[in-house]
Amino acid sequence: MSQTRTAEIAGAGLAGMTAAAVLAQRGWKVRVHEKGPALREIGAGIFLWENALRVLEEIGAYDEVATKGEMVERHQLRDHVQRVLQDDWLRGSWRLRTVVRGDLHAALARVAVAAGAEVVTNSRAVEARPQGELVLEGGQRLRADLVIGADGVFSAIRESLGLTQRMVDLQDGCGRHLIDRTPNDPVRRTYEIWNGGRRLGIAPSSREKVYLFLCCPASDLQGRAQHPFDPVSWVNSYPDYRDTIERIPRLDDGRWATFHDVVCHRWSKGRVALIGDAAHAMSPNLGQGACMAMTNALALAQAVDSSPTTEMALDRWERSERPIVDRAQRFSHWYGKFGTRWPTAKPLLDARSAMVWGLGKSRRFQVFLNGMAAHVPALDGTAGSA
Amino acid sequence: MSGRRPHAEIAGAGLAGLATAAALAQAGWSVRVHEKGEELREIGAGIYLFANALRALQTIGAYDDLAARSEMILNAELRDHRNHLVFDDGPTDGRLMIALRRNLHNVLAKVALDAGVEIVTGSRVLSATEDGKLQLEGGWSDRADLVVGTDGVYSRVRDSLGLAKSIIALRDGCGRHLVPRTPEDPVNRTIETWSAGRRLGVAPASPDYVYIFLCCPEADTEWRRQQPFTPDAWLRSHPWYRSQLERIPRNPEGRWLNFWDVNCHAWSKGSVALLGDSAHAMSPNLGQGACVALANAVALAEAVKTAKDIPRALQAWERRQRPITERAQRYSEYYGAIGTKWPHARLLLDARSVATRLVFLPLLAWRGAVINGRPVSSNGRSRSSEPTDPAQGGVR
Repeated sequence: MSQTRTAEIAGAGLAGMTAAAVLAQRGWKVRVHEKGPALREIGAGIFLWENALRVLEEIGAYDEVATKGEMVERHQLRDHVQRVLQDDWLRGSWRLRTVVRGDLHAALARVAVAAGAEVVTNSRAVEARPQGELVLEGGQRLRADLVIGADGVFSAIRESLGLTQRMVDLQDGCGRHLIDRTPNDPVRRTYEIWNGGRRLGIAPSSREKVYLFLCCPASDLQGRAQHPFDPVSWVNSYPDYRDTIERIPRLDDGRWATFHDVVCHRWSKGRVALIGDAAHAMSPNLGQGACMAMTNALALAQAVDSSPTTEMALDRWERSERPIVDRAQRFSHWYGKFGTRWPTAKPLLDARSAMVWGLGKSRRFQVFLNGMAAHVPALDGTAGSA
Repeated sequence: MSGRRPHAEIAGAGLAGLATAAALAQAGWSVRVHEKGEELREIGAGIYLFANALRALQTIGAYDDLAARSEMILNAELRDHRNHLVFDDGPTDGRLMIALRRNLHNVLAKVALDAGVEIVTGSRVLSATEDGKLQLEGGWSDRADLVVGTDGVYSRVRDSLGLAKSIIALRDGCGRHLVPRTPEDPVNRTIETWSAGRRLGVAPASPDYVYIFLCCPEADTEWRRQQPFTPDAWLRSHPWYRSQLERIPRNPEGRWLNFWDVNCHAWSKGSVALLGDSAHAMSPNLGQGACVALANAVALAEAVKTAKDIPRALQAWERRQRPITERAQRYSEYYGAIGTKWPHARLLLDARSVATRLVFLPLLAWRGAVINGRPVSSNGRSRSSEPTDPAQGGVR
């Protein structure tokens, strides 16, 4: 084995970039393959919980993200008559920040490149081999000590290794938009408001932008029509937030996208590991998909740095991290059902409100939830668990 | 009263009277409301409705109608004499909705009439007896099982029964105005700005109107004058609100009104109960006067619903509701004292901004406790989620 260990990463999204940054900072020679002609992050805003913030601190990207994003002091879940069902749902006493996805992605890319990672655009990875080989579209084979598939829900790497156990279209999704921020928008506060099967989220995410998410079931055709965006049907559901909804541009980048659950037999095969959506895509109901992807990238680097072989490291990594990811995925799935599929008769909506409110009173439940959002890996014994 | 439908006579068809009438009628009572005016109407401009009021409105089925014409608030800002943000911790107690008083009044009247309440206009109540009779201008009513005096700060029902302990003019008051809404006004947001002893509030209250309140001490004659209204004095103290101030007409409906604190020996005597301003008028600084009245109205109907002994039920109702009402009254007075009576030197005003941050946390927690209807824990913090099971929608 040569002195410098090498990693080839397929996919330069949030998961791939985090992995590139942590490995490069640990002395690895890292190359990231992005199929697009340029580095870019789609999507609007993102919630970063304690676990993701710890990762950002670890790799030195926290300050940049903190300067650009918003510190959230209060995160409220409300119902159809604006009753507060949950205050600081998922947060407990931990931190919560929101940031524009593009700003987060740029910060990660900067850190990764500064640490020596090489980013190759227009480079589509189509296959990986367990012995540690990444195959590009042109047939080129790249050998490495570690190959990472961070190529999203429809991961070609995962498929080429036959790791997919199931991939479920949840028949539920959302449109995500960034609107220009005005003094009327909430400050250091985020809201998620449920009305029937629809969920509206309002999250200031930078000095200039507010992130809105509009979730509804796939069967809600009017709710789904977000490109071009016609505010009428959403204003009908949320008359109190007419001003906010009407600020969504008629044509922007936000399209309605469906949620997927991805479950794998294993997260790795030989020297190839899957991270992020490729391994464990989940509905964004808990805002934990990207946070856990980033956490897992850190855990992966810790594991390979403190195990004699890559294969052993990947075993340890999955054993340690997978239970918490599976739990988040299951819970997010259940949350989506609850929020989207519940019958919309008024007495039943009141009953749902009561149940969600009641859950918040359960200390055990809160500990269970908050624990998920504050999990910090410590596979090399360096970081303490939060 | 077995077998017979219990009957209530109510003096005063304001917000408290109509809410009480609706809640009683929905509980199976026959109810008659006496309004001294020739028609039903509500004076005043806008109103802040916190979670306790909204729960009461849900209980009597008035919420949806009102919400459709009102403004939900996500940010409630408090600003200082430099227009710097002191606080934007908004509705920390859950929900906050701003409505036009007349919309609220209309909705309550509709709910009451739908429930079978009889409203008699041009009927002035002069006094009441503790066995349940009302003296009207034209003579005495028949004996009712329950009489409710919702006849305001200057309540004749209260005074005829000798229940008043103290009626105190707070030497502080405000003019309230509705002005047409424009895109310059805040949306889903209210602003209250303290400058020296003067407080200016901007609160969108319906799709078409913004509610402006102009509070100042009684002694502040130039700022007090609202009839005719000229914006000059207020523009000097609050130059940032020129747009809103200039929209107030020269001869507005809104007059400067003094604030009062009313305290009673008891809220009831025999079969007669006092509710709303007649029992516990308070300064509107915490926006809790009407909210507490609405909550007390629903609680009153609940208390007498199946009671065999009305006088005892009324005493039990008072024991349950009064502590929280008086807390709201007391803290509203403190708030007014900090906002209005603080010395005006610039340096001291800066100190107030800092002090307000410190003082406000406990104050808001107290308001939270009022809204949520339960005591504050010993460390002065109250949990901010709603206390009652939302599915019940009721007030305990």
